[in-house]
Order: sequence, then C-alpha cells, then structure tokens
Amino acid sequence: MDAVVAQIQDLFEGQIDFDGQRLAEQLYTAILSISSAIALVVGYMQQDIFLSMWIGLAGTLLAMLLVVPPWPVFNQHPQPWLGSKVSLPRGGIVVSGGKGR
Amino acid sequence: MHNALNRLQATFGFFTSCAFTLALIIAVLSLIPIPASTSSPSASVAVRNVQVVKGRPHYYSPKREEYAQIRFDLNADLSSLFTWNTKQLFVYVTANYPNGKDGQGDLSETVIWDTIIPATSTPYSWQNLKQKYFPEKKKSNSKSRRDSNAKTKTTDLVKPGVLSLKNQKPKYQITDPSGVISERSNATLQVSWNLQPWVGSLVWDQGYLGQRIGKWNAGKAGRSEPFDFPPLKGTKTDTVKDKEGPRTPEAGSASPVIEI
Repeated sequence: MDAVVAQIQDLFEGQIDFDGQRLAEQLYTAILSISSAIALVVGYMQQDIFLSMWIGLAGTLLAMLLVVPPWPVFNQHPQPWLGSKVSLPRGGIVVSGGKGR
Repeated sequence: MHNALNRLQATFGFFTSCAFTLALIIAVLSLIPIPASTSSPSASVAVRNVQVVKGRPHYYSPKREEYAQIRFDLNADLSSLFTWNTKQLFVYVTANYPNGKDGQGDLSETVIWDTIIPATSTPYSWQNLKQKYFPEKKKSNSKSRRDSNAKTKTTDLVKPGVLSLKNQKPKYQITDPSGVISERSNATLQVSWNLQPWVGSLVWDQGYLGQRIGKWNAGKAGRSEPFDFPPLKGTKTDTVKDKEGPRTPEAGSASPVIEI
C-alpha cells in the first residue's frame, strides 16, 4: 500500500534534477516570450485581437505541456547523493563538533 | 521548480506577466497615431421638431412636469473609430440648454438618444470559432430563429459606424429639475461618442490632447444650430390640466427629484 501511495506521490510531484530545473525555466521563458511577440505581430498584421489572444493562449498551453510533466529530458543529470551509512567513513560525517562528542 | 505544482505555478506566473505586457503594448498601440488615421470621425445633427407636453414621471405620481420631445436628423461617419482593438462604440445625443430663463447660465446636458454599435466580429472571434467548430448545438437549438440569429451575429463585413437617421424619434423625453422646460432658449443638440476597446482605456470624444483624441484627429463637431423650446402644447385648452391645477408645481419650486 505504501509503495502504491509513494508511486502516486512521485507521479504528482514529478521531481526533476537541478539541470532539468534550469532547462525548464529557460524553456517556459523562451516559449512564452516568443509566443507573445508572435501574437502581437500577427494580431497587428491581421488586425484581429482575437488572433493575438489565441496565439498567446496556445503558447501558454504548449509551455505548460512541455514544462510541467517530469519528462525524462529533465532527469538526465541526477545528483550523486552521498551514499548510505555503510559507505561513509568511520564515525560518520561530523557536521559540527557538538557536545558529547 | 523541483516539482510539478511548482513548475505549473511558475509557468502561469510568467504567463500573466506576458499577457499583461501584451495587453499594455496593444493598449498603447491603439492610442498613439503611428499609422496616421486617414479619416477622422465626424457627425452632424439637426433639430427636426420640438414638442413640449405635460406629463407624469410615472403613472401614480401626483407630480406633473413638462416633457420635451425632440426629433432630430443625425448623420455620422464614425467608421474610422473601428480598429482591431474596438469592442463597441457608444453614441449618444444630448440636448444642452442653459439653466437661466434668458438663455444664460450653466449648461444642462440631457441625453435624448443613444445607441451601442458593436464591432463586426472577425474570423477568429469567439462566436465565429464556436460556430465553425461546434455548430451542432446552435442549429438544433434555434432552427426557426436562425436567420434572426445570424443577423445579430454581425458576421457581415460591412464596416460599422455609419449612422444616417431622418426625423428620428428620441429614446428619452427630457424634463428639467424645475419641472419646466418650455420656452427655454439657446439650446443645442450634440452628438458624442465613447469608444470601448478590448484592452486599454476608454476614449471619449472630448479630447484631452487638444485637437487629438487618442489615435484620431478631432473631426467635425456634431453640434446643431441653437434652437428654442416651444411653449407648452395646448396650454389653454387642456381641461385635465385645469382640474389638476392646484397640484401642478410652480415653476422653480418643484422638488428637484426627477423620477424617470
């Protein structure tokens, strides 16, 4: 049961690694900026403000589709975490010399 | 950015910034006269017939007031006001008359007629797209009223904003806070308009920038020749008026509340 819940949680959280986060941010910034610029130019050319609106909304939907789900491309550089206790040096990592040590 | 909800929020947040910036640019573009407008809005109005009659504000009112009905001719070419950022245009005719009996004093402005001219819908407007891709519901819903529906859809490609009215009856009969409007002099009719855009600021015909009104040059002013309100119709022969004579408010002493 816990495993199923964890799977669902993973699915909804959709975590990505640090490089993926940078990529996602660049992606939505670029897509939204470019689609807004296109919306303005095309709407002005065609003299149709609805066209601007639709292009802007389409760009937003595209950006959300590309950025929100945890696509594999966002998980290409998993962070090398420190290993388990077994592989740690003896005595563990001393973060600060607390009392009692 | 690390989880899906966070990315959704970030994307939506940047979308609102982009949408606001886009709207701002469009609003500025539709106010500055960069592609200079080739024609300016113009209107002319003339008085046809003025009648002043006694009446009541509503059926049960004991108050009797004078109401003026002003028929007028109106010719206006406001088609240059319809750009890609025009949602609708409000056009109204006011009767302006001085408060004083001698044709002097402050000006009272009362609307006698108005209309809303919606912009023609473009191929990508909401109605047209809906009609194009989801036409099923429309047809079954109003098979008998389809032709009347089509008329209100304004899918025609005629440029709106051209008005030509002959001997038009006013929508609103006007009275004065004093209850007396007959025999006032030096009144004029005036055509005014108010442009309502999709995004941006409202544009009124009274320009704030001298000769320029937003994107447009101020056109010919829609103002009629001065006219006088005639005496009350049937003053001497109205027997009903005699019967209710005591209840008729004196000129200038009636309550300033108009209930129309």
